[in-house]
Amino acid sequence: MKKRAYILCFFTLLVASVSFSQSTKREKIEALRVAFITQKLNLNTDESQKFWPVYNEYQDKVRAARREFKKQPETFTTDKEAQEYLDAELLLKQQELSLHKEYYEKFKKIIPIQKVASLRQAEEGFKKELLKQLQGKSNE
Amino acid sequence: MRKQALIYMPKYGLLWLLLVAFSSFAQTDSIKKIKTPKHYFTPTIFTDYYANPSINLDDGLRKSTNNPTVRNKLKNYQYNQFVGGFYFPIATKDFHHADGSISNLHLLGTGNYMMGMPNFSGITNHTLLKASVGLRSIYNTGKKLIWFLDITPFMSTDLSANCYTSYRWAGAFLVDYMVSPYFSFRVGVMRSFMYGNRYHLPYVGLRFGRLDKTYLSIQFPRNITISVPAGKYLRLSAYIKPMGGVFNMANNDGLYTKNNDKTILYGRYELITGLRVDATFNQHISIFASAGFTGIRSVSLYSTSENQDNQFVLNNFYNQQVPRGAFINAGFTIRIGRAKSIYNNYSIYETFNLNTTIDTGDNNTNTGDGNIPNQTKTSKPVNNLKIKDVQDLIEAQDMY
Repeated sequence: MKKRAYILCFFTLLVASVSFSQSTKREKIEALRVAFITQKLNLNTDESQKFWPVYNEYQDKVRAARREFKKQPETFTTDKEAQEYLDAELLLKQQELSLHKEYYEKFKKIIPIQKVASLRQAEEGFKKELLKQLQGKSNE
Repeated sequence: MRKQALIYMPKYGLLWLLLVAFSSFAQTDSIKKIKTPKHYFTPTIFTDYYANPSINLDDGLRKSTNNPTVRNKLKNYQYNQFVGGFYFPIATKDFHHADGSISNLHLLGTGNYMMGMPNFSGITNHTLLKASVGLRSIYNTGKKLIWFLDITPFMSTDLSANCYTSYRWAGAFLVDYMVSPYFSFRVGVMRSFMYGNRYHLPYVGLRFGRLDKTYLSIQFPRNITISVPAGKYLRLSAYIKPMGGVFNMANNDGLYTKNNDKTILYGRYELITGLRVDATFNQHISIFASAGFTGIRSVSLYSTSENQDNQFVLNNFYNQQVPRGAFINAGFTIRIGRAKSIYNNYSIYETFNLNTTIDTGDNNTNTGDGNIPNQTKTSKPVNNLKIKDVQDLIEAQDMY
């Protein structure tokens, strides 16, 4: 009986580890991004304490909007599907712009405006790093 | 039906108008359609197994008991316990303040199933059950303060023999003040059975060092811990903590002879010192293993009839100092689903730590802070990066 319980536990852990390996990669990317932005913005303790909860919320919303858009089919067989894709793309752009506007206002309350401007540069810099890694892989 | 609606219309007119206005507002505001994770805490299940070897109750002790008759009946002593528990978010509410900060209120449901197996070689084996379902509420002001309230009602019975089931409750009310990510203190009160009796204790806690790095945490009366990250996935700790509880036990071995009691209470207390390693594979799964020595250690038996009207510290009819010994402890934690992002959010890290320090079943087990990412100096690129890993991080035009 005990042996069965141990085997069950072992397999539960194994299955869980394998199925969640994708999320580990994602956590690494997030950790790298946090390190990248922290270094670029040079936030003090008080700024950092207020900035990260708001920035995380902003990122959750942007990510959710992009995930929603990625659900669209990439090939279209009818005009209706193509129109839906275009509508979804416009909606995404609109959502991203609204979020940028909304959260830049929030960031300005928390950190100096120069750091808010640097945030955009830091985000772009991090994206470039990611793209470089992707490009390096495709060149191999 | 339509007639009825018209009758109620004037009465609830304002409410109806507000509802219509709200729903049309929600439809036109595209931002409202974005669905992000609702909670910071994910539904979490955990297990914890603890055991120490058989030992003669009088070994190395000069004066070990207040009741030699009972002691002679009990002989050798060994203890095992298994704890399975869970907590899950019932509701989370974020509040945005004028200064840009975000505070949040968390309501969690908790549950715990604990089987304690004290084996005395002189009497029959007992499997004691303690099961709880509770609620906890945490309010993180998003600045320095965090309020914590936990109520854990539980039942206790003896699964191995005919025994009454009793209902008790444990709880804690704490205030946490995080001066900076490097230092926090906590004060409060708690009602607990983990010292092998019913105590109402003050709570005083201090933490030095960041929760995602090396820290020293002194949390009276729960633990003293030094915790050190070892890379991204491992955390090593050295700790001292009390463990114990009060359980209903069948009096089928005639340990208490007065008042015809069919049920007695078994109280256990150990102060354990150990080393622990936590491995967090990702945000969803972590395991731990620990070993060490139990120092101050005692077993008590209480009469139920004698303590019937006693609402505070229980009076024992048998107390036994138990010789020192070794212990092993291991378990795993699984966190299910996605949560809101918490990177570098130290008030949420503190909230998580508060939630794990006060365990869900008053057993003083510790699920570990696997949801707080270790801070390591790494700039290594991510292996096998694919477009699908980053597709929600970059915009379409970035690819060209």
